Amino acid sequence: MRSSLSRLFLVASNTAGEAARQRYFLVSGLLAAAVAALAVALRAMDFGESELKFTADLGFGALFFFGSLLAVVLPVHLFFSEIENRTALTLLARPLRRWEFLAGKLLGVWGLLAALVAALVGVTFAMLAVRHAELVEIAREAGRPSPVFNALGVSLFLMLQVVRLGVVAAVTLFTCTYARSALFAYGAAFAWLVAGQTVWLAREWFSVAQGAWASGLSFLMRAIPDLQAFNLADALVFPGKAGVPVGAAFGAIAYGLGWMIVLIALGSALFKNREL
Amino acid sequence: MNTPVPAVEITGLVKDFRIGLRGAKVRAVDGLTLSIPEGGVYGMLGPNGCGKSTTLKVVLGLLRPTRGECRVFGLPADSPEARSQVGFLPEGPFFHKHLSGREFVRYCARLSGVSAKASVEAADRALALVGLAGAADRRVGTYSRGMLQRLGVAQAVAHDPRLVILDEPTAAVDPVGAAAMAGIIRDLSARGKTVILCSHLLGQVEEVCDRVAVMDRGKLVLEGSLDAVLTRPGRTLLEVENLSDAAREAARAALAAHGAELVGVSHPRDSLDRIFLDRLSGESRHGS
Repeated sequence: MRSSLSRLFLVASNTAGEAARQRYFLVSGLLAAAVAALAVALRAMDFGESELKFTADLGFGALFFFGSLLAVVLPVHLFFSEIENRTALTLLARPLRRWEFLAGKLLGVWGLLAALVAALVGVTFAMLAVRHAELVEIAREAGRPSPVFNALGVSLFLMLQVVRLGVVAAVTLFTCTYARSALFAYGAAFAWLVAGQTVWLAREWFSVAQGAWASGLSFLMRAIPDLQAFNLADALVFPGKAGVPVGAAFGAIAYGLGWMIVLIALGSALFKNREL
Repeated sequence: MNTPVPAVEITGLVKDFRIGLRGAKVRAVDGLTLSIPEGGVYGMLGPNGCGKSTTLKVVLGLLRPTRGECRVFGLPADSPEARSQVGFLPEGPFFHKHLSGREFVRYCARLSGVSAKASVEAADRALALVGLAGAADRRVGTYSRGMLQRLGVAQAVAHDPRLVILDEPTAAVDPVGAAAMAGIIRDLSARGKTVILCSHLLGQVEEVCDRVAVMDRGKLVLEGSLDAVLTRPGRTLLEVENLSDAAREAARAALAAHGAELVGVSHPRDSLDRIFLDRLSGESRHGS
């Protein structure tokens, strides 16, 4: 088990190193940070708590868009470059099991995505903190109630987004294990992503529809990870009197980790039988 | 007395692939039975599509046989224990460009179970063996084709395997690189390793191999020691210095008196490879 973990971490560290050197990763990260920092432009105005919400939306929106994009592009690129360049043959001819290879790839990409999330949430948090201090002063002078945001909520949001991107990367790697070309894998992974964002709508619709077919389809919908479960930004960062929904956040994190394990197990079973 | 365990033992190997939307069956290997003894250099020959690479992938545990069995040093070929005793250089190798040569060989050695500490020495030893010690800290992306082939051999031997499989190690490499590779193969054999060489360069196979197998359309058509395969039974070659016409006729008559017949007289030729390498300067001969 120890040597198995050691091989897994070796693959993960090599994957992270390779991913970090991809130009599109660096460009996407910088673009996302630039979008998050655009909130500086709002400082000329004063619209109270709404401004903080807008700042958070801008930063978290950039994270959502660029993070999702990279969580699909990085695994497909890194997986298929190993297959097409035949470096996978060199590695898998060693005592490296296929599940170790796959889990190592996921861990490497996930680690890098976690660093990206931490950086972007950090930028957004800095923007929120600085503007919050200014807005509190302005509100005090104007005799208005001070706007608030929750730092604990921001850290929970960070963890949620790390797990969400982990689920997207795991779905993508699962797709890679049965896809015969990178193009197909990109298409299928983006389809999974859209399905994951919208599956809650379908579930709601089928839950009120009548008939066995509706129940059947509603059950089938459970085979798609619900990415909307991680959409707790407002509730976490601006909790109001209800307080930070810590339980819901940890529930979503457990749900995401569970999906990651299931997807890598299924992907490993498919990859084990793949002829290289 | 114990019978020595062969390095590779293949019994009744059949491998079918399904291709196209209808899943038409293509048989790549058809009932191959082969035993490769431990030690020496074993050549696998055959035209493109004859099933050599498929057979090697089964030996490496990368493909599962449709039927039959493959064992490496007595262990199932796809078991991690068997794979830890094998080093492999794939055809047309392409390695992780972002790593240096040393980092890449260390990475491979560690995946084969070499400890982090021991992997430093193992990588340096393997890089020195293939003549890449001077380029060990350069990024793999800057290596020439010949250097990549040598790096491929270094990663294949860094964990000190008993069996080394080289798939077309001199494809698209110039004669200097090919000669260097032949030297490395002979060196590995001298260290007691079993080397399986898959190559289209028949001259090189003849130069370095002890035994050969020839495959065609998935079947084994010839197998044996190089001497047994190449020797024409009942014929003998004499190499003579300063043979005059009179001496030749006298020899012909003497042979006839003993019931033998002189069937041909020719001048021994050097190989073009040898002449090419002899004419190069020392620096070019050792490659870069």
